[in-house]
Amino acid sequence: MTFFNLKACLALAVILFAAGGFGVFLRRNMLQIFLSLEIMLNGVNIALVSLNRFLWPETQTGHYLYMLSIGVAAVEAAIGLSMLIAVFRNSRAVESSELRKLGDAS
Amino acid sequence: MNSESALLLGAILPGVNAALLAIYGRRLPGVLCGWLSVAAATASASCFILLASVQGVATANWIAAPGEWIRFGAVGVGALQASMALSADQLGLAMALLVSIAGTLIALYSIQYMEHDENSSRYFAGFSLFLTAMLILVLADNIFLTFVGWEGVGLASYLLIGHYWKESFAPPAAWKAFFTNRIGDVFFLLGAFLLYRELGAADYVSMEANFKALDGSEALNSGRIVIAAFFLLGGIAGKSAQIPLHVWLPDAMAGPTPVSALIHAATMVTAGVYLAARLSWVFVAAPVVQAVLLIAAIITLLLGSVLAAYQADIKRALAYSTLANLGLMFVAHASSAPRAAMEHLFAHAAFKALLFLAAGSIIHFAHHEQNLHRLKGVLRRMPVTRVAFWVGAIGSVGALPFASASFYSKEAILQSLAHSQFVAGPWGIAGASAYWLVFAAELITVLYTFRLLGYLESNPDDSRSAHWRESGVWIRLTLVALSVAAVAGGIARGMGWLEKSFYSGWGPELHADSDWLHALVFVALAVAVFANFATPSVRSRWQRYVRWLATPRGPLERNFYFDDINRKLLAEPLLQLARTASAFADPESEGGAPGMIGQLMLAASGRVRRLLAGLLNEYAAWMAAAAAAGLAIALWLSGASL
Repeated sequence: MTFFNLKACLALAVILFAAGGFGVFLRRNMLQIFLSLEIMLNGVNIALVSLNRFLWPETQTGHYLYMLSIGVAAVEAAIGLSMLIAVFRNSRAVESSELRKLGDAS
Repeated sequence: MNSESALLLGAILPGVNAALLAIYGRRLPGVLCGWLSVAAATASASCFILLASVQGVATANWIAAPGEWIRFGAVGVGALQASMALSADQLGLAMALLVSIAGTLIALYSIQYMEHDENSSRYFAGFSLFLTAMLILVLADNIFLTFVGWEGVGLASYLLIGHYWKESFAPPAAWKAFFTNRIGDVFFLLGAFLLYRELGAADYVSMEANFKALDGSEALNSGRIVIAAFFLLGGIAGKSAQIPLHVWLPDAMAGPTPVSALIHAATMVTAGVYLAARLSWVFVAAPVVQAVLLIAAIITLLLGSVLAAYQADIKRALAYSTLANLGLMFVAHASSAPRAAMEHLFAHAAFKALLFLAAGSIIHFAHHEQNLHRLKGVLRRMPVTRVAFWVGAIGSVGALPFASASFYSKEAILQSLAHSQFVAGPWGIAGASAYWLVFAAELITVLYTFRLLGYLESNPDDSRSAHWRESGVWIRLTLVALSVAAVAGGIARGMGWLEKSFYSGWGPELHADSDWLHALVFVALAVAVFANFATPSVRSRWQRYVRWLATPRGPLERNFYFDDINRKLLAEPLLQLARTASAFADPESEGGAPGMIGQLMLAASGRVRRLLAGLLNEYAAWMAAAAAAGLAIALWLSGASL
């Protein structure tokens, strides 16, 4: 298990986070942006649990944080998606670039 | 009723009436407002007559102090203290009598004069306000309370000059009077504070006592008193229309004629003369100031006399004549003869009010015609006004003893100038020439007065004069009363009855040794001028020459350019500045400050605006970049290494 060490895990986390980040920046579709955000969150979660596993193996703090994070992500996804649906019903658009006006959609 | 309450009532009653009319005047008929004003003025006059009769004017000195008014700092040195106190010594009571009695008569006159004016309630409110302010001015026990009245008369004057505010000519005249007086009032205040600082008291009695105590000390020699006197001179020049602050007086004729009679002839413009008499000890101690005052007064006197002879408008001619007479009073002040100045003040008040009211009667019933050329022969249709105008004119000339007090007062002024420091000292030649200049101005006075009379007494032009009628009963009554008063004043002065009451203790006895000679010259000139203007049938070279002389040209037409100079040097730059500033502050214009700020904001936001295009991805990217940057900075600051 030469690859299973802190650096590798954190690298995976960074890669996930960066991939998610690029997704958030570059995608125009709101759904894809949401998905990318989830990926970023997962990167953070991996960082949390791997830090817990390698640096403080006798505690469970990282796990708790991961649980919390997952919960928050779920709630956020629910709220975000419902907002997205509301927006879509208003403006028939899921592209963020088309949702440029405050108030009533174009 | 004791003396204090009489004094207080006399000063306050017109003010109460003014407040009443200001609040309820609109709902009352104009005639009622007029009668209320007459009642208030009469009550006020009665109070002062009562005061004078109880004690005799000569010994009068009561203080009515409702209480403390201004107090800064602890009692003693350096504390500014002034009380709301009225005092009636000879000077104040004499002035109060003049103001209230003249006010009563002129209010009576105004009832008829203003009967067709729908805003007469406003007029009477201003009138009463003026009376109360003027009474406070002359009865104030300290210089700061005098200033209250000083400002009050300025305000009332502004309101009354601007009475016909719908006409184009009235508001500028009112502003002119107000602004010019503001300039003077700033000087007045500076002078008052400086005097207070030097003498440590604000009430006139202690001021004078402290000043006498200063004799020869450092404070007297430091020149600060002289500077204070100069400042006060500025204030006096503003209110009493001396060069160069005289420009408002001729224009003040835009108001109703009774106002001109009361304010711009009999009372307000004499406030400066009154104050100079009140503070005569300051001016006597400052010969430099007196010299400046003499120069200004003589210039004013000459300018007023000359321009009065060239005015086509009857009221403006009388206004310039007022200017000249004020100059004459200040000639007396400059020669350290406050008594002569005050004598002339009273004489002038009588005859000039008479002239103005007669002119008002003429104007009123020639249907607001003020041009002399079109008023030819108007007096022949108006017997009462005719008598009044003649009495006023004789007073204005001052040529006949017993007919007018001005015969004596003008003589007293000439004599006091002849015996003044200006003649005695090393500058004797200047003093002597000043004397002859004043005498020349008096000759011009004869000229313009009888020129007026000549126009008004010549053959009437029937086409124009058919519908002229003599004025109403109250106007005639007023004119008769004033004529009687003017003549009675002359007789009383001639018989020496006033020596014991009004004028005792007012400086030295006046010399009079050449009055008959002067009177002879005056009468001769009067007859000549009158004949020339009243009978155009006289055809001769002399007549043509006079015609040529009497046509205003050049500086005469433009009133010696004072207005032009003021316009060019003061008004234009200020207006330009105001226009620039107003354009700068105009929200509509491109070049203005609001526009500029807007442009600046737009320019500054141009770059930023492109960042806020509403693209979520961009926002997120910026957020991330900022977070990364923040993280990097935090790490760098904490000294950690990546």
